[in-house]
Amino acid sequence: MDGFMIAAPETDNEEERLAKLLSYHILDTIPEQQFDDIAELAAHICGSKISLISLVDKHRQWFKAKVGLDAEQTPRDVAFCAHAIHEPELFYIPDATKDQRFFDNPLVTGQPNVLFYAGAPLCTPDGYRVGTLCVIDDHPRELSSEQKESLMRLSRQVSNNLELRLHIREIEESGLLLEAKNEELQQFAYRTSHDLRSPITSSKRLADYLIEDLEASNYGEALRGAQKVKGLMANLEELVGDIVSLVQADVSMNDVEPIDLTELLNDARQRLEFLAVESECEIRVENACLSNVPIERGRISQIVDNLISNGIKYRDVNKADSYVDVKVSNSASTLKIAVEDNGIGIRSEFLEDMFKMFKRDNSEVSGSGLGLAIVKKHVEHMQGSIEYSSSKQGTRFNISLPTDRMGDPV
Amino acid sequence: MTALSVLIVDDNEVDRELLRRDLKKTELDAMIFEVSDGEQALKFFEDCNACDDGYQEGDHPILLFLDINMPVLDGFGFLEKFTELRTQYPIDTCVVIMFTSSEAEADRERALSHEFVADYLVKGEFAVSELREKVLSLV
Repeated sequence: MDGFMIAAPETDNEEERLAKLLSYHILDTIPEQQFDDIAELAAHICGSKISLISLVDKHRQWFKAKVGLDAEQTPRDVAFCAHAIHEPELFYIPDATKDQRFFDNPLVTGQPNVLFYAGAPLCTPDGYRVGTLCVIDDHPRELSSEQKESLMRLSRQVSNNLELRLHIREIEESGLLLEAKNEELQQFAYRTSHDLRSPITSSKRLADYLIEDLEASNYGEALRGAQKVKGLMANLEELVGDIVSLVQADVSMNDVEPIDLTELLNDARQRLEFLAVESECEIRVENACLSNVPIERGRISQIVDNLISNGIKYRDVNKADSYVDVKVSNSASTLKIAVEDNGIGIRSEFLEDMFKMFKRDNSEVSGSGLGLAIVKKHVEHMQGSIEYSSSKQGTRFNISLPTDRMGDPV
Repeated sequence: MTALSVLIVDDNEVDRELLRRDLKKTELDAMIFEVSDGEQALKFFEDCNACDDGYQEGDHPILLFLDINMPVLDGFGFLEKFTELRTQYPIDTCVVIMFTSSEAEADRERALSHEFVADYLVKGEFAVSELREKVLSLV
């Protein structure tokens, strides 16, 4: 025979096919009974010396099960199975020495002397052929039609096992996710009940003493008591507001509609101006004219509010000019919000926890501990991303949000 | 009888205020001091000791109300350091009552494992009469 062996080309859908194979998480795993059994059955039914469950990876074929062969894998370019996955039917080579594609293949001319080969493709439900169940002998031979049919049936069993494996994995993953959500919910229920009840109980008791003070005409004491109740109620109001925001962040807020971001930012600045003035901290807003950005107003508003108020609360009183810079830009279907301050920074050991509910970097700074949890929820719902950096010079948050989720900008 | 010297260690201003009012209502003759974390409480004891040439019993607080969750040095951190401090100063008559919103059994056990921790009060869960009896039984 003239020429040289022909290596199998890549499949037409090679990239997707490989992705599917990887999704099974089966490559390089240890042998498993259900696959070994099928390979044994195939060898037994076909009366062959060798039987393999071969998975065709990018540059190799790897054997999940093997009978009569020691090798773990072979390069893809000499693999019969790399040819077999091009066809939905049985790939059948009764005498490899008489086949142009294989006659001088090192697996034919040397060990294990593949002179006979029959491979049934492993077809996934979505139409990819990720490998084969094959039988091999070291002499030319034939299979009966029953044997061919059985090999095809067994290959479907291998495919089913692969698919089952995927489903089990998905169920396990969603179980873990559920567990984490449940944990979060329990934590939330515990903390909200404690954090809501405690200021109410304290206020009630302060009110009792307030009444006593008033009855005894201790107006000075009464005034102090009343101011404390007011303080508790203000904190409670903030907490309840934040809890509502957090819960709402999980349901859909406003529709995505073109909004005037310049106006939104000015509103935010006005809302927080009292806090800024009281703290001698300047809010500086910089934005190009952003009049028609298609995005959810409520979410953006809460992200901006929380980041600015954190910047103000965690200002550095030792620095002369405290500021919070807000820069917003919109280009290439991405809305970028950068909030930067020259405050005290976030302690490095807190970074890991800062997006968790009720976690606070400094208990002397007032707040519910929900601000960044709210920001994170909103960003996740808008499929955006958060980056941050923090040092003693200050903190910067960069938020990127896709604005093309509902089609092109209006 | 000289006034009972009491130190409240709690970062929550409202909780301190309420305990101060509760103690006042017990009509026990008490001098009440307040600090807002464990570090300040330690310093308070050190200052008591340094304030004059001769150390006299009664100069330092006899009774401590100690919160658990506090910044800087929390209640448990304070208990560790206070154990050490007791070997340096003659303050072994001083007893601690935990004063916290934690209802966790583990916290209760951990606190009461110190022999000088006499009681564990959960904030808002006791009557003034109860407080009076507890204090009287300890001093």
